[in-house]
Amino acid sequence: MKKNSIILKCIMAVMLSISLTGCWNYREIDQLYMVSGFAVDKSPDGRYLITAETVDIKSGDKEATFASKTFSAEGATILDAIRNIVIISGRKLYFSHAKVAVISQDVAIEGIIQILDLIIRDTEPRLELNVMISKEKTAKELFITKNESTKIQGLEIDKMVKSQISLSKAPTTKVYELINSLSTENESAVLPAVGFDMNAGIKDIALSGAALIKKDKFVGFLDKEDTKHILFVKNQVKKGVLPEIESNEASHSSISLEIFESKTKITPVYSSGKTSINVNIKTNAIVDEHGPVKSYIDKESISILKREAEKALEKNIKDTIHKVQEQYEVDIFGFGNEIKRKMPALWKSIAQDWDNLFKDLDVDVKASIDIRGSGQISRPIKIGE
Amino acid sequence: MFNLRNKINTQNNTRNSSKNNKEELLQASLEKNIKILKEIFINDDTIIYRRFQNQCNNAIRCCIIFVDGMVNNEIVNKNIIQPIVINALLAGGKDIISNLQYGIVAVNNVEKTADVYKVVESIINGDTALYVDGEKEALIISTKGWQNRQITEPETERVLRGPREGFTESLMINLTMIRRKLKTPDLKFRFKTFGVRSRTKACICYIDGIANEEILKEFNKRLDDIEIDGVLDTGYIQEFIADAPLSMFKTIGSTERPDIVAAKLLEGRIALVLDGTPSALTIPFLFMEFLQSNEDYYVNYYTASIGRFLRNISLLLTISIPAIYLALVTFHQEMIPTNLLMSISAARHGMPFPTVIEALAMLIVFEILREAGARMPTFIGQSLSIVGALVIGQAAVQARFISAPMIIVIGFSGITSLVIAKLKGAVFLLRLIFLFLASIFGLYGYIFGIIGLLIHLFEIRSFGVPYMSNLTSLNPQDLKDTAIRAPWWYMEYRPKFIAAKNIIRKKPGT
Repeated sequence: MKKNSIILKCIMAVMLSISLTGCWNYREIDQLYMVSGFAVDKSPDGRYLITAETVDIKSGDKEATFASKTFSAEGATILDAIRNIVIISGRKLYFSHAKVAVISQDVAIEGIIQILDLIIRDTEPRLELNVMISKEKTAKELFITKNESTKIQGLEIDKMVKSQISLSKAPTTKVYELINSLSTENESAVLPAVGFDMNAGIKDIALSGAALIKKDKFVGFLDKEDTKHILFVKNQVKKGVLPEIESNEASHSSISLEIFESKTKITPVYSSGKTSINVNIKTNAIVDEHGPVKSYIDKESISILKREAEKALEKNIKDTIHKVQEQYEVDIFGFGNEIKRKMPALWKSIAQDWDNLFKDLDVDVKASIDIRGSGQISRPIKIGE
Repeated sequence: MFNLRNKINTQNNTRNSSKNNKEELLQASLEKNIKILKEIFINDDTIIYRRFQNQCNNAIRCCIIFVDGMVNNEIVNKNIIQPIVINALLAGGKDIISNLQYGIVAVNNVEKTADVYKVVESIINGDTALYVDGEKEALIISTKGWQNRQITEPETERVLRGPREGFTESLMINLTMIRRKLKTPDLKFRFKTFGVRSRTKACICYIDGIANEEILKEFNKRLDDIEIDGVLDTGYIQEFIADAPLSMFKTIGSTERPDIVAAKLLEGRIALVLDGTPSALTIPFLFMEFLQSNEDYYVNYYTASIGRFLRNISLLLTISIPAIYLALVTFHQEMIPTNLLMSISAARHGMPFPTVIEALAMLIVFEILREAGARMPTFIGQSLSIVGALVIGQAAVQARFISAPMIIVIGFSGITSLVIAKLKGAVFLLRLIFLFLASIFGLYGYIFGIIGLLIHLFEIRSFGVPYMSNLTSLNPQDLKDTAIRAPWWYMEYRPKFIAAKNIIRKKPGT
């Protein structure tokens, strides 16, 4: 009898330990607050202020609705602040599906290494998280201010980043890419900048250009057009539009070229003691919009169009490079890295002084645009007389 | 009353055991012989003792003994009684038994015997015993003629294309079906009897020259070791001679189709057909055979290979889906795409039970429904499917007992298990085991489960042939009939482990 009761107790203990304990890492999916994005700010007293946007699920009779719910908490370190949120939210935050980390300018000026370290050291966040710099005063307001309560800003920003590939006006910088470029000697990173824009008269969140990072510190913003030119040099243009083509004869007749493919080659040149960089851009494009006056769709005028477009692109890119060289003095293009790869001996001699050299580096841009076609129709629409 | 029964039982037992030791011989007197039989068949009213005599020679007194209903009455009347009764020239004397056997009884199979127990066994098997007064020998006349089920297509192994016939409960009819497909003298039929009481006849079939003699020897040895009182189905024998008796995977095949048996015989396998059941056994049985269907060989090889592929996938899916879903949802949420995670999360929102309990409950409910479907009369089936679909599908989700994704997961897992119906028992067990492992260790546990399963499968042998043979080979000839079904003109060799000696099926390259 006694023996039986011991066996019974053992069986009960095993059964209970299986059924009652929270098993190792076992967590029900509905017990998690899925974080869509988070913002890193500094509170006035210098502590970290983390604002996490989570997906709040309200299940209705037929359909479930997803709403955004933000929590924020302060802490001495970033993780401390994140953990402090649990007190407010009641459930643990789940960062594996976080899409964006927005960093405010004050934090970024001091350095972003700590945030990146946390992201890659912790098991939950992914390396394909988009790291961004807020153009607004704080980063958290991007998540808090919204038009519709159901709009989940983190997922929206992620969609913007994914779809802007057909525009090429914002860099897409995932954590692993960022760490790559930050750890490369003398190369600086470009991060997408995110801020508010007017959308049909309402203030709305939008990607707006790029933020420049030197070493790991934020130095300044570039606008969307400049960003596109940077992407051309960095060989990151996949699709996009080349609009600013003004012909001499009819200034109001403007044409859009749509980029299908673009390749950029950077070649360092060293001659008579002077280092310079050649940037060769090869782009395939088609005419996708054509103004009303003069047709450019014939052999001769299309070569005029090509020349004009090339000239304009070369000039724009050069301007942007000059701006970066003069204003920010950061080698975001990876010119130094290119020299190091192709002329290692030369690089050894100039590496020490690269920051100064970069400022006055001669950069020659050669663009060659191959216009492949004219879309579905050839001639512009004729206006009846 | 009880005492009497016991007495008879003990009597029978002693008789059974004495049978093996010494023979009881017939007496010279008809009445004595009948009395012996009546003692043996005491309390059995189905035995008919029909006395008659020759109309011209009253001295020739005979008696036929048979079981009512098991004999063909026409044969008994016209070919036994009538010739003996009306024959005017029939003379008694010393060799009357031989006279009857060779000259009078017009039945195709007549035997002489002096052994009472031979007589008893024959009567039970549907033959008729003819006693003649004054003779120490009896004639056993083959008159078997009971009602048989029609030859129909087996319910469980239907095909769209291919032969429509299936085995019946009659051993001889089944054997003729095999014989008709393989008209070669090399096709051998060896009879055996199982069951001390049921005395069930069975037949081992093989093709001499193709079948592996070692396997045949081993098969015979294991069959001879069987000790049981009655055998009603080949399932009894299957469990006695299985290689891995504790495994959930069977190592002996069974089928109700003569075309399958014929095909297996041609591959060098050995079949056992048992009287009284339509399911025949085939050995050796390999794992791949779970995923093969006889129709594979009758239809175009592309169609057949797609079928094979689907069955393979179904096997993997049916045992894995609940476990993988559980592991993803409760351990590895980061592996679910964000949008899917949100939908699952929304569906799970506010559910009363943990995912494991949900999965377990639904799995068991599904199995109960399936079992009910198999057990109940067919005309209730309609209402069952309605109740099943409504109760577990709609109502449970609407009442927010069970989350909708779980219904999908279990439903899918159930449907895929029906694709490989031959494995249903093992599949259910595996599903539960994997689910359990996944609920404790996540995907890690599931992977370990799969590894354990593979180790188990690779360790089994069926009559010396590796259970998973050919599945790890890289030789196209070994793989021709596994995951795909190669065209017939490419099937040049028989399975090498099974038909050890004569493996060339057709001349290569013709």
